[in-house]
Amino acid sequence: MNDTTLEALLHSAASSYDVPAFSRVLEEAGETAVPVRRRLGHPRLVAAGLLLVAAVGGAAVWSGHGSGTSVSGSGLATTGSLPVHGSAGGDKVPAAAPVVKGLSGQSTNYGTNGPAVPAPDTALRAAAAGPGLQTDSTDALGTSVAPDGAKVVHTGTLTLTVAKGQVSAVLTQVTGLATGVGGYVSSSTTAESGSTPSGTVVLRVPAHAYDTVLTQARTLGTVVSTTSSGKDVTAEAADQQARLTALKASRDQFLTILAKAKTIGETLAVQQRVDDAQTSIGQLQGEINVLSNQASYGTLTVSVTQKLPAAIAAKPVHRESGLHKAWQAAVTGFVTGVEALLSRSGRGLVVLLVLLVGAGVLRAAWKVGRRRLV
Amino acid sequence: MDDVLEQWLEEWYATAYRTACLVLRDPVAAEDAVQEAFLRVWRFRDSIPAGDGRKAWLYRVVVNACMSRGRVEGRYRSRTTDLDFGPEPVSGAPQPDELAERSELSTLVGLALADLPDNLRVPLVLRFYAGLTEREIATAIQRRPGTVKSRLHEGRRRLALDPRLAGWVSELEGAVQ
Repeated sequence: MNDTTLEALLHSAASSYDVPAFSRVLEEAGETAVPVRRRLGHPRLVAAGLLLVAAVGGAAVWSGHGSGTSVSGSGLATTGSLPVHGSAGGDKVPAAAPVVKGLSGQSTNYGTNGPAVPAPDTALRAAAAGPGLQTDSTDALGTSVAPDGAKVVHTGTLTLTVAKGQVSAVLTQVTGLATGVGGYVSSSTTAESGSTPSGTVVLRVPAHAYDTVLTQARTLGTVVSTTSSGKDVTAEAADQQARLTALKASRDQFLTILAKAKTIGETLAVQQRVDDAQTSIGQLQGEINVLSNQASYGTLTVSVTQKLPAAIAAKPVHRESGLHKAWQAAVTGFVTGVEALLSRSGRGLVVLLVLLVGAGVLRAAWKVGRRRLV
Repeated sequence: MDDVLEQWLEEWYATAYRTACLVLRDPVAAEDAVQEAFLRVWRFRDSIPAGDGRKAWLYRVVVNACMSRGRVEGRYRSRTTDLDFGPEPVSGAPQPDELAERSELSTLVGLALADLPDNLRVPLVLRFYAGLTEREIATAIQRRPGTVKSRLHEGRRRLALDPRLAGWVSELEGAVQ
């Protein structure tokens, strides 16, 4: 069968269909065209992209370590009420002059639980004098730093048991320890479950008195557990301060240029740069304030519970049969084995899961792509 | 630009519609598919390639619309019906005997095409009815030109072996000679 015959046959078959009128099928489309959105031209490119994403995700998981001792979240939750000065919002810049007004939002209300902390006058003076006076060696918040200038964020927990009816009294004493050295209570909770009341206070203690308060608090009851950690944030603080200085210098340059702008277009363009720089300055200033506060005040979480009655504490051990012991030993061994397996191959499993998910997505995408083809 | 595009689409409407008819073997579904394809072309008119690639691009959209339509309606794999072929009156007021003859031929061709799988039928229709080159077909169905060539060869071979077309083929080739 040659080409001519084939064409004749198909044209004959096609000609039996009456063509409907070319009514305005485009009327339904509206007048706006969809913007060009180029698709990847080949499924292999999609596959390569997915594999790359999977590989990067796996590598990120594989190399994912904690960057240091984590800081208690409860302390951060009250950032808004902490003695943080010169907030981002207050660091506004008028269009005509590169002068930072700042420090208008000085808050000394630290919530209902804690007393007001005296405002650090030295910090106010240093900050009110303008950004130029704040250098890496000047702590605008009057932060207590280590003798060698290092800034350390202290966090710790302490769990105590006390005699019956002493929970509230001990909590009050613990709070008094903190407030006595200029600290305050960030949050406190009390609970009464059955006949065993308990309470927890989160204290913000000045860094220089952190160890003293912790030591004294340990004497108020029987210590069940305690943790304490410190994280040196000196380098981080110095880096933030350097970035802030650079950003302010950059903003000042833009302001100088802005003063010389002659056309509206020039003014708008430079103003946008000034706004961007100002936004970054505000964000960075906020981070610096948070970090400084964390370094100035350690976070100590103290939990106090009532001692169990002797009858319950000395509950006799239930005699178990040999078969029961064997079963318990088997279950414990199994769980221990699974835990060990997971802990040693956790990252590998995560990478494997990522790869499996990637392969599934790839297969689905391949099927979808194939379905549209003939 | 919109007027030019509309004119261009109108020029290709009849061919695209009949191509869809041959692919889907259902005039109603074909009309829907072509309308959907043309709407898609209109909406994505900024993506229409310039030059010779436009035709292949248009047929790619049409073929995709046909495949989607066929998939939705679950008909495009059907091998059981030929009721949709041939009953439509042909425009131009042909003579009754001519009409009957042409109708019979179109019915037989439709049956023969219906027996072909999609991957052979679509390239055949695009090549020998729509007049696309092998490279344009490759663009339209997103396959390599070599694949298109082998599919055209296989499709032609199967049609040549179809006993329903044997008489017509010899008659047509004899008339040409």
